[in-house]
Amino acid sequence: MKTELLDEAVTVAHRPATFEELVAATGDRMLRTAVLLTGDRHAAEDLVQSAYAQAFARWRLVSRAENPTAYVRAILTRVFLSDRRRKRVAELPLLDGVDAPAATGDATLRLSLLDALATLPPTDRAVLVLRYFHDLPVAEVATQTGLSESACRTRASRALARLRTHFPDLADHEGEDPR
Amino acid sequence: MMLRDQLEDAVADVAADLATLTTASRRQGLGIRRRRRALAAVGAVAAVTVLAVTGYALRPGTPEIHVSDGPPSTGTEADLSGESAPITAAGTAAALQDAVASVAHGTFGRFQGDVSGGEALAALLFTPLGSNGPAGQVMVNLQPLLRSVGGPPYTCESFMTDCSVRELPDGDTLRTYHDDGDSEFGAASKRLVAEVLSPDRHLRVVVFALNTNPWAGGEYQTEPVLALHGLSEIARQPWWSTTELPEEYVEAGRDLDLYPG
Repeated sequence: MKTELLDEAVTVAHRPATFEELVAATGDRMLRTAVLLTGDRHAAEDLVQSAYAQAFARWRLVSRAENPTAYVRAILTRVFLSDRRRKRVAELPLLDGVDAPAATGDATLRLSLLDALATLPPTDRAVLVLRYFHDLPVAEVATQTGLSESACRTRASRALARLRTHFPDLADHEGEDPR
Repeated sequence: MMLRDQLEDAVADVAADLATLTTASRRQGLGIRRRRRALAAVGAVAAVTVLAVTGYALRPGTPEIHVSDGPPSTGTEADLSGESAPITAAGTAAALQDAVASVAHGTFGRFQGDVSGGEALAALLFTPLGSNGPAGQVMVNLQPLLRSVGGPPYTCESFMTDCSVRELPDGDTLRTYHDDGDSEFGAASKRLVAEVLSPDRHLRVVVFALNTNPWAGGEYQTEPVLALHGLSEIARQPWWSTTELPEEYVEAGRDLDLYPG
């Protein structure tokens, strides 16, 4: 059975004892993050695998981190932004039902939103995903993206404005949370 | 609708094959660990490291690799984790060693390094495979791109012979030249230089190779131990910086005994 956990769920209180536990607890969420970042499922699979591989390589640090999920997410974001990740891809598919119709999601919405995200610069995309998909405070988004907090706010605001050209009904207050 | 909800909906049907992800990540992670250990081991015995005995050394008069317009093709970048650590003198020396090893085969020794004043410098002695002459010194100097250097377009200066200037696709400028007028190591010394001037990164990377070294006692190779193509590849490594290096190099540097400068 797959375990769906939010970002803060895997913390010091629920520290995964093994690498397998960490992947089981966070794998789906990381893959969804990667899909939003890359806009492509195969690229997302590569990205997630690279991130977990680095986490495994430094498992001693990851396992002792206050928030192992945040640690892996930071690696994933850095790999995505660094554009240095390996081009070699996994031989095996990582997704269940990749080509199957969406069970719970709206396929039309997904394509539209992913397409809209793909029009944004990668850093803006990362800012939006970290800020709104992971609900991270601006300070942490800044840390993970290597931007200043003001730059994060500027990028988020600009990216939201561009998204609103595709999704006019986006709530106005979303880009103004000063947190 | 809130953006958060839209993002959630957009990927609601995405699910990972966790067993496969675990296996594949573990396998890839083990590879990273092995490369780190190998790199650290190289640093530990780097006083005299003999690299692979096949291939060819990039020296004048021998076939040289083609320097493409694309990213440097050292083969080492793909093995780096992407993590960085604050720059150290020994780490810079380890990075230089790996960069040299990616373009030529031979032995290394007398590593030196210094990080001060916002600059970093590393040097080593390199003896190309099959060479009979003395080792040649190879040095990298990482500097902030000062205003005194000016901005692009960069041109050749009067002391630069056989100089070539090329703008790279990423906006950096690659300048290569001979600096044979430098007689620091005797009239027969030859120095080849490749430098990358990067306004975007506020960085100047200068790499040079000599046909001798400060301890050679007046002996010389016919030509510097690395040719311009190899030096260019080294200078173009994207991870050079005055403040940080890939963590693998910093880690390898911890096991490197620097020769007093």
